[in-house]
Amino acid sequence: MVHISDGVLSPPILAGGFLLAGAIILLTLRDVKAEEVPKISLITAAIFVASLVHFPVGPTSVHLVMNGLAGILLGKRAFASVAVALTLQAVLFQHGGISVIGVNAVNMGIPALLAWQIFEGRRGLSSPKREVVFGAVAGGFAVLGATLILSAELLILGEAFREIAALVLAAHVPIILIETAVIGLAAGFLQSVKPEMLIRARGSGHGGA
Amino acid sequence: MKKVAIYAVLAILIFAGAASGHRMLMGYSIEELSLSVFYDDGTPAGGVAVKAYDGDDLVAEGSTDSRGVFTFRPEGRKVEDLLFVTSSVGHRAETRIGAAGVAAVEPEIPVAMKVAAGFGYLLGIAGISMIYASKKRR
Repeated sequence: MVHISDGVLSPPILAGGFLLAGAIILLTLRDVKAEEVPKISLITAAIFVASLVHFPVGPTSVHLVMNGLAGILLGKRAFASVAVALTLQAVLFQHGGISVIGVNAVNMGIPALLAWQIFEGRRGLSSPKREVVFGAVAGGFAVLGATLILSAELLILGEAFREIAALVLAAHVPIILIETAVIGLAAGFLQSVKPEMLIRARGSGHGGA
Repeated sequence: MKKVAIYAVLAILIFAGAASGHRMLMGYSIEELSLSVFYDDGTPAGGVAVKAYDGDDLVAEGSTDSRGVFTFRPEGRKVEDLLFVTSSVGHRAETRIGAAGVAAVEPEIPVAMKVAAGFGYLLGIAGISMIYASKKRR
């Protein structure tokens, strides 16, 4: 449900979404190396299928987002990964729509970048469980951020959307909890078996800032 | 006398032929229309607003029940002229009751195939970049 459908937003907002998404993709992929692409593709595939996991919540239906996972594994490349996953979802599953790819990429991609920044904060903690803690927080905030941006956009559309925006937030509470748990555990697991999969902390080159 | 009359009627009917006279027609009217609103995984969308438009005029509005069904009484309007729009929280769908009915919904490709297609694209991108990376290294 984090996906906005075709025909909800006005053309200027749609165009703005594409412009902003395009600019961020250019900025975050400028120095991408061919060696990084297979990893980005793999994680994009995971996000692409995550949206098929649906949960009925009250009158609506919500699905996993997993933008936080992209954030902690890909760092700044996460935005492009989310954008590609959304494009495939729009084309193949009709989730959202073609005209809203830009807006949806911004809605879910910017929180993915936020998740990366949160995950970077783990350097400041010396606990052996720091990957789990920061992974969980990053995963939860990525979904929360996406719903907040979506709600803000719906609010711009008019007063009538106020209660609906509250509904969006409420409906996503289960998703936030699930992704907090899943991404926290995934981060802890990867740290113990394959730490090079996680985005390295700032200043250590490859894939980082 | 009665028999003669019956024969006469029969004779008239036989010689009347099929082409002339009273062609039979059928019409229909729809008293009540039930629209079901659901998500692509089959979950019914309950409590969702549905609006019916005739051109630009809003002729009816309401919301779906817990089973995702919106019941509409056209009250003399032709349902074929109406556009039904449903929207909730960023979701939106439109439908027209056409001559072919709502069966205008396209036959769906199985989800597994779509997933495979998506993986195919991503694998392709990964593959091309791997070839490029290995060529560059040599």
